[in-house]
Amino acid sequence: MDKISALMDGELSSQETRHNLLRLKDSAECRETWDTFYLIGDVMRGEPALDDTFTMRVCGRLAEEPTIIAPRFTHRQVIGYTLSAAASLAAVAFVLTLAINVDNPFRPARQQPAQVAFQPPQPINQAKINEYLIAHQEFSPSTMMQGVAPYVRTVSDDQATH
Amino acid sequence: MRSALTALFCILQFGGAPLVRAEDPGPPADAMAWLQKIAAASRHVSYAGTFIYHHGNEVETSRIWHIVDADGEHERLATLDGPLREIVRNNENVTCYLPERELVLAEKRTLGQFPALLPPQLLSGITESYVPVKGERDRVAGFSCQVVLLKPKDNLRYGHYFCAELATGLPLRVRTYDSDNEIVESFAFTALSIGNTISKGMLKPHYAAESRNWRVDRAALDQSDAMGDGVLNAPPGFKRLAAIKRSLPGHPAISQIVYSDGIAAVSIFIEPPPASPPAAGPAAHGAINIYVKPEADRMVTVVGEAPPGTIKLIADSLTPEQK
Repeated sequence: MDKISALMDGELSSQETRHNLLRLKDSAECRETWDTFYLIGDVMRGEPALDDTFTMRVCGRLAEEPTIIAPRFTHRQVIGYTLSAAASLAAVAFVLTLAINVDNPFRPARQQPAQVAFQPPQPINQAKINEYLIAHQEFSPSTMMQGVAPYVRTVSDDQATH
Repeated sequence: MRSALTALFCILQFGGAPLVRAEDPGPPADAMAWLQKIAAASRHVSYAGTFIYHHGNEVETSRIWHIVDADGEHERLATLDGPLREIVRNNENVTCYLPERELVLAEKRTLGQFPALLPPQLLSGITESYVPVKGERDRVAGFSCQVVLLKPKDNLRYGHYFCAELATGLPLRVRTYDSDNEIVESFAFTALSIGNTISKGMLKPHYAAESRNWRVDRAALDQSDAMGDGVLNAPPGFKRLAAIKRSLPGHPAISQIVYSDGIAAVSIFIEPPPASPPAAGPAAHGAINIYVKPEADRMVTVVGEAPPGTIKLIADSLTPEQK
């Protein structure tokens, strides 16, 4: 995995590059890691809208023309996109979770259905609602299902309100 | 490459809509057994891990440690993003450390007094409002898990998704869906170890020493079940779970009435009108929706894991005499 990050950053010797390209070719896991690192770059650059089929189309083309991959690795611009954090397992897990958990986060957010009966909810002033949240969560069966995790709502986003 | 792309395609296309595409639904009894197992796991299993909390456009990562020993349950949650904020629980005592406000929020939970929140009553009546469905198997944080869905029977409530670790039932991924099948909130482990391998030192609050100079706000229960039966015309499926008088920090005399459909709960807080009442209207935080309704002689705040329409419905159904 660290090698793949280095491969992206163009930091491997030509022999290592060849070796890892073979790994990439043979191992679905490696290819997923590769895809994931690019997703990380997208997330970190805050690029919101990648077409659903974009990665597939690019990957498909790359699969058919593997030699085209090599020059891209040495392109130093890639370094800025991938960042050192890309090498960490946590970051991989983070984006994998995003990609799997969230209904395609790279698609533009769907328009909220019109709220006819009420105005759209406003962001909470967290400082004012903490006490209510704690008091409420004590009684929520979903808290029973998840232990203390839902309490993260109480401490999350606090900085956004100051 | 093609198979990997097909897998990716499947995830992108179908990953977000399991509530309508759960394959091979098992018998409801089996799904219910899984739900009971999940509820028990959160109390009886020791574990430590990193989880992601996703709500709206926010993604936050936290560490959690949970130890069950002869003294009971001990838990610590610490945020990894932004300033370190943490929550420590020792059995019924929950303490939140908020460094930016130099504030400690302390609460003593009173669950023992409310059997409806304890097994086996927990989740009872849930099939009135939801269809439990056993979904497929998945893998989260390296562990195999069983998907269990609670499909809502109407638009008054959210859909719930759990992926429970096969051996222990520990929920590894939890999602809440709205009626458009969009995720409103999700929790998911990215790294996890299960079993009693955690040092108790990990449970020590980071701010144990520092917070001695901070303000401590305590919530206290004054009187249990002091509200009588109430006259709230609750939405279908929601039953009264508790009605108490308590004090919250900054809210010296407040009544709290809790309604639940077996999984989601809605709290109605009623208190004397504050000197400068907040603006009326809705607010939201992940799956939690809030409706603030200042009135001439009281202020009503409704808080719960239900869609905004349900929260407002409950706020508006409160009769004037219910104080």
